[in-house]
Amino acid sequence: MRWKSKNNTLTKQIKKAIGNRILFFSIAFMIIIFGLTLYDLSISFKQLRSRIEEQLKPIEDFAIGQAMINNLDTVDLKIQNFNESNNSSFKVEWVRQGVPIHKIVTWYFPFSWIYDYPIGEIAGFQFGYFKVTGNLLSDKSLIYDLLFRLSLFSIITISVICILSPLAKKIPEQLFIDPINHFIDLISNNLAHGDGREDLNPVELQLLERKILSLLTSATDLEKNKAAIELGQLSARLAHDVRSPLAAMEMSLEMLSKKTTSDDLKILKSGIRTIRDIANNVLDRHRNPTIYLESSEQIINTDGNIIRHVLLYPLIEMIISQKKHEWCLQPCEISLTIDSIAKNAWIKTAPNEIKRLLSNLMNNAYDALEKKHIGIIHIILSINNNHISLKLKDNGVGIPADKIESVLNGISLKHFGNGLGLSSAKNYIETLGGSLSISSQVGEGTDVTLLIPQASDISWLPKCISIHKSDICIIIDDDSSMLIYWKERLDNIGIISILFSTYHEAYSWVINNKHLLNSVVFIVDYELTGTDINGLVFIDEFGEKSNCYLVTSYAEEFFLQEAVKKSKVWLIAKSLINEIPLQIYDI
Amino acid sequence: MKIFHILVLFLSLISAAHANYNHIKLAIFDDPRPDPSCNENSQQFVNSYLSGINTAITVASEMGFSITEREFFHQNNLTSIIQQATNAKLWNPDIIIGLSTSNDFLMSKAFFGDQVILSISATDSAIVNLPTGFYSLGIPDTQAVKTIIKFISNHYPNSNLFITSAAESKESVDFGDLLAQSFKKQFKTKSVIERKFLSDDMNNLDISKFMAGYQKNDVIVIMSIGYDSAIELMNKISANLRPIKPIFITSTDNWGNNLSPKNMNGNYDVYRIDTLSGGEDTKDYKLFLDNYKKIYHAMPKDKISFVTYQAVMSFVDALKKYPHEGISSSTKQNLLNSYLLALKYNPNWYRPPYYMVYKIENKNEIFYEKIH
Repeated sequence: MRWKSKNNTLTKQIKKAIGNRILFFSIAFMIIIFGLTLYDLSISFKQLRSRIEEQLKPIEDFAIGQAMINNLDTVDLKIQNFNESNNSSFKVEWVRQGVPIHKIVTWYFPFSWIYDYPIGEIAGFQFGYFKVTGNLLSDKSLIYDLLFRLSLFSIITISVICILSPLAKKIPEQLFIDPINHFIDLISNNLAHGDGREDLNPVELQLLERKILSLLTSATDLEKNKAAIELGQLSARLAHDVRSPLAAMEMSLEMLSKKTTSDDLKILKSGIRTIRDIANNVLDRHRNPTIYLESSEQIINTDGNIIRHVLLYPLIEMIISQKKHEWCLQPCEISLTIDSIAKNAWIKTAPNEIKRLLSNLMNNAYDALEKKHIGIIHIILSINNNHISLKLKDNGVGIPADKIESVLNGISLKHFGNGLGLSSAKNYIETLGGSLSISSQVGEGTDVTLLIPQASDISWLPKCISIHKSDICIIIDDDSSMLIYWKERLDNIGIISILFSTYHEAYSWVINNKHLLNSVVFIVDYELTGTDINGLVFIDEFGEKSNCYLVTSYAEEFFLQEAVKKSKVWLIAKSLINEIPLQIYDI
Repeated sequence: MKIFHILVLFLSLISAAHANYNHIKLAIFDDPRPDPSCNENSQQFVNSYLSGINTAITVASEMGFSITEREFFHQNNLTSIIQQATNAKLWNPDIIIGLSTSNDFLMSKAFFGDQVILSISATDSAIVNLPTGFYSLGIPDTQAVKTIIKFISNHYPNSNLFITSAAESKESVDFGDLLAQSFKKQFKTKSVIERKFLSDDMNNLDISKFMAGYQKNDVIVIMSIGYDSAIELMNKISANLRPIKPIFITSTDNWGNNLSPKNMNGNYDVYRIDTLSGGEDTKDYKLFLDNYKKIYHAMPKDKISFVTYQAVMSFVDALKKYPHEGISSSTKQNLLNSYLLALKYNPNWYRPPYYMVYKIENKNEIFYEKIH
């Protein structure tokens, strides 16, 4: 199931590539044959001309001699005899006045040719020319040659039209496509599950897969150019930057909603959610460009295949944003309910796998909706005994009870997407130590419930931000709303905070206050605008690692998780800063 | 003293003019090949051709004329003719002799328009239209036509005439036309049929169609370029007319030879009339023979030696007998003037005196009669 959509894309591209080449070489061959035919014709006409000149040379001399002694009638007799002789395949006529018009052998429709043989000028005497006419059909060697070429040309043309052209559109799958798909499946399975054959080097396979994907990307992404890349980067930058103030706004709204209830707050929340969806989409496109090459056809990016700690909540938000975009022509209602603990729930998996799984489950739910405009897909995320419970509810057609087992075993129900999706999802969740269950009522809808073990051994994940009551908190963030957010929170608990919007300012402060570093807590944004260094580099340079918290939107990136693990720095996902409590201690 | 100097200068000019006048550059422009009908070596024939000229140069030398000779022999194709004509002109001769066929002689007008040209044997009636410097030692065909009509009326008074001419030979065509006109004019009750053939295309000749209209006892006149092609046509006609035994008359000169031809087969009577083979009873021939024997210590092998000897002697004798009065600017002009004077006094200057008739019986050529 997971490779099905990708295989379809590959199949199309491979077919297109092979078909184009077959057509190109066939047409090139036709053109070559046509050119050779024309060349042969030209050679034949040249040979014909040489033959004519060879045969007419004695007659020319005869004519000149007789003309010079004014015995012209004899020339006509000579030409008459020549025309009547069996050897001449052409007819000659003496034009006594005028100049040759057809200086080369010229074809006349359908089977005639004409050539004006010029008679030399002697001692100022001019003798006109011989008008030579002939029939192509009388030259058997030329006709045979032409027939052969034309036959060859016709056969190739017919072959191209009747055989190669359809073949180009419908490349035999067993011959070309299946071996390639099988090969790619082999690579993918090996990388995803680590259960490949022992003689296959995973690094080589990974490199090979990267190469194949890179080629496919190059083949399909024809529109991409430098300007588009820059625009994409700018968009991603904007998306990234807008998420911080959005988070701050959302948190402020949360706090405000505790004090008052107003419809306006709901409108604001909805607006913020929409903006976040847009930002998520833009950012996701930038991070995973290949996913968007063909709608609903997902192709993984390679980094996403690496198993790491993944925060499920933003990932679900991302998928929802994608689906809203994907189904914009026939939208349905998608809602997400999440309890506050579940927001900070991490699992250990390859993000692409879980994304694909969630995407397929949502696709199935969407497919099951008979009337999209009244269809609802409700996603509920909660914590249940150290397991993350993810429930997808739809009000679609439902699955008969006796078919549920079959669906879980990979048998497809037409109205319920590809059965392989559910079967594959179940298998994958089980490899994570979880489970997948389905409950359904025909005509009412289906609930798909995933129970995934929560990751518990994350060394870089803080349960809270610990601050001594005498500590100073240094906040570094280029987003002023975030700075205000942190300041308010710290002020509320009586902690002094110093705010910096650049590393450079913070650097200067640190240089001047080195003696205070033991009583400083750093809350540092990982990525600031306008600088090459990042927050981790800054912390590694100056910070006491146990008091350093790196805040970032890239908390799920494998390289960053590995880096903070190595640096022993705390990592806080920017989307979860509101969920991280501030703890004061005075020991 | 002054008068003496003027006299010396005058005498010097006369002497120089005389010296120039006595030295002649002679170009031989011809295609001397023996007729294929005779078993004769080509080089032997060329030697005979040149030995006659050499004999004449020796005689001329004794007469006070120095002649420098150069041959410009060409082959039987247009390219060769043009090439040698160009070479001959570049040499700038005072007189050109040779041009044994009427075709060559008529064509030479295009190449040698301002030269003194002597043909040794051209006979076409059309040569009278050539420029004044052109003269042929051959008896014009107007005379030959009369001779043949005379011969036919004497020996075959009741026969009609069937004339065949080689179309590529202007001489043959004109001769045939003239003979037909004259015969019709003289014998209004008799019929004349004319046919033309191409010597090179003889193999493709439809002989039945060609001989359509022939009646038994018709005299068939064969006008061809060479004796060989005449024999080939006679063989074909006789084979076609069998069992009729046709009568042929041909005027091919065979370069003055009267050797029995080869390749002759079939059952027919042939009379060959020519002018070049005669003249052995003349003073000119006696003088030639004496000088030839003096030089070569042998008898001439071919009659062509006498023919070329006569050609050279014709202008040497003209210079001797009719020297141009006054001082001319060039030898060429002097030659022309003397020759014109000679022709003025004798329109048949150095031409053969009569026709010789040979009858070919049992493939042997036998002298039949002379016709003056």
